[in-house]
Amino acid sequence: MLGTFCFLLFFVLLSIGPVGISLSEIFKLFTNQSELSATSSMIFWDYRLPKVIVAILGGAALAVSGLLMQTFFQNPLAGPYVLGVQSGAALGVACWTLLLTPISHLLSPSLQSFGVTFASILGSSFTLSVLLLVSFRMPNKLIILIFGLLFAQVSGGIINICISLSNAQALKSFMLWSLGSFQQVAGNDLIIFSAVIMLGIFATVMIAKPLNLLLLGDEYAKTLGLKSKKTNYSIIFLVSILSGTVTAFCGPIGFLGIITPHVARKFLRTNNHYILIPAVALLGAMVAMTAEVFAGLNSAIAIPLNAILGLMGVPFIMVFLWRGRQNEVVF
Amino acid sequence: MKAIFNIFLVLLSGNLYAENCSGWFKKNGQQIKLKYAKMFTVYTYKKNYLINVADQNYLLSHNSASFNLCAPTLRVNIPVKRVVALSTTYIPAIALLHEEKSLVGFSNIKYISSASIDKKQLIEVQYPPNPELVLSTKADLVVAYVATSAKLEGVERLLQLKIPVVLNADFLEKHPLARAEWFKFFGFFYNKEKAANKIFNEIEREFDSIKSNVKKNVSRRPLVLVGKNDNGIWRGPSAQSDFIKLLTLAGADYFFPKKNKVAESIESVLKNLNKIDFWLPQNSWYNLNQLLAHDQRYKNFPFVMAKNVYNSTNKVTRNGGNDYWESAFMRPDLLLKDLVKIFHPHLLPHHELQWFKKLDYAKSK
Repeated sequence: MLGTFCFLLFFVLLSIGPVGISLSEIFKLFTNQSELSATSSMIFWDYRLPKVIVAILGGAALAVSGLLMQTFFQNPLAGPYVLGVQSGAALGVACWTLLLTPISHLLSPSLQSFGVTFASILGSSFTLSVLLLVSFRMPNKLIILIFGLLFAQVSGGIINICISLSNAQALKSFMLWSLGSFQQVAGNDLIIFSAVIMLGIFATVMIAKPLNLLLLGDEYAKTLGLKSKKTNYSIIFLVSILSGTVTAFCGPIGFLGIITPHVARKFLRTNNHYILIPAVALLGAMVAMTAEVFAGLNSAIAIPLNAILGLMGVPFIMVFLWRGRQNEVVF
Repeated sequence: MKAIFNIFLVLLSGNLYAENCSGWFKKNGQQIKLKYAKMFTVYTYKKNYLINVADQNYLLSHNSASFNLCAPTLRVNIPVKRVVALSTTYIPAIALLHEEKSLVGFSNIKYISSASIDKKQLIEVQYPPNPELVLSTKADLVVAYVATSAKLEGVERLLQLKIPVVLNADFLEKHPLARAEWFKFFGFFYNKEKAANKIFNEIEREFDSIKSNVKKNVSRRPLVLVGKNDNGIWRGPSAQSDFIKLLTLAGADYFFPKKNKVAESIESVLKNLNKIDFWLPQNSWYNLNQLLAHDQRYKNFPFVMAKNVYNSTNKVTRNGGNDYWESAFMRPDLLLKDLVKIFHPHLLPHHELQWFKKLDYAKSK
């Protein structure tokens, strides 16, 4: 059912926009039978299709990251943000946008071209390195969680300093990045983005068995043969790669990562990660596409993606949880 | 009862004494006519001036304490000798009136572009202004811009400390020449009314001459896109802004001619790409590499392929201060020349672009 919804949303999202491209024309485009004008063709292939692909993969990546974090910490409030990877990415972007952009003409053209994406990847990689170092030295999940939260606080502090030192134009650029969007990824960026996310999700499926064992508790899992250190490193690495990549290319996107795993568990009434991982990925893609559909309904008002996700999702989830039975959420 | 009546009389007489200066000058003074500026008014009465800005009125006098016919928001003794400015846009007026030495403090010194300002003599008062630093400048005038929230932006605190703050609302003007008329505003404070009038009249004369030249000689008006795509939304200036009015006077048409707020889906631009002749992003790009790094899909835009992209990054200091934001709107004559040179270069063959530059691919260092 999720797959069918995703399929429908995929085509609906492709057809929505100020330039009219009907569903039948889209089907013909995919079968090389349509003769759209050069402009419509460019709009479709360069803008709409990349946007939908990024929404699908970005939504899936954040949802899977959320599931990994909730399983790892065995805490329903965990999400991709708790490790501080997204904060690290935001710190990188803040330093680039707020401090370096005004003097970017002094940098080499190749460095200028990397820009925001490079800064974001650098920021998230730095956080990932710190986290892996901490987890090597102190294999205690609570300490890793505290380090993640502390790192987010430190990043927030440095970002505030950058903001106070920046000019209005740079501040606006940073604000726009922080609103989140699936619309800025195309060309080579899209290839890199897609490859990393697909590999990350595939790797997550490969560790589904250890994830299932983790739900039994660390000690019991060890008696069943779980190599807990290796599993922990894998989870931290995968979450950092998945959420760090999405943040690098699309900005910080909230809500999806925390809430989607809950909905999947409610619907499927299972904690089996072999089922949950693909389901959560599909659900994440679906939520991301729905948000984009809402954004595209009224082209006269530009509503940021994060605002749509919050406004659309939170009331739905509150009603959903209110009507459901609390004891079905298992940890 | 009699005592209450007496108190009432005292209060009433106090109120009469403290009549608002705006009303008093309207009745007794003479208004100095301004041609384009709408955001401030000036009245004069026996060599005293009253300037009204955003419901504030400032009494300017050679000995303001002796003037007790009405109660202004602030009394300022002219000419002012020590000034703190909180925006770079006030620097062209200070420089053209040759009062650079009066500038003793600034909010963020690294963003000043003007070479005539000796930055070493300035105290950086930060923004929002730090009251202690402002006090340390011993300024007899702080020029701040009309803020959305005076409290949040620190101006209210300065007023509470009796620091003489005057508000400037030049950025709210709509006519392209109106901001330049704010030279007169500074002229009153420096007691250089005539010099300020002369500067403004020259700007106006030059502006009108270019305008009529364009009117006579331009037959085809190119279509111009301003702003850039962020997150699938094209953001640009309002059709009512002074920049777009300048663009129109320079013999070009704006892509969004009727929009008061431009935040449109990128597709509304894409469907008309072939009609667009020029693109003025108005951001921090110095070359086409940066433009394509922001979004490589721009490379398919016809005006990018033709390199008809001009950005306002011609005069940027090593610290990132851009003279375009500091000076261009105070000199509409020169800004108009830049725009005419871009759209109709044959009309100004000898003019060299001041603030705009044609974007090209950067050479590898």
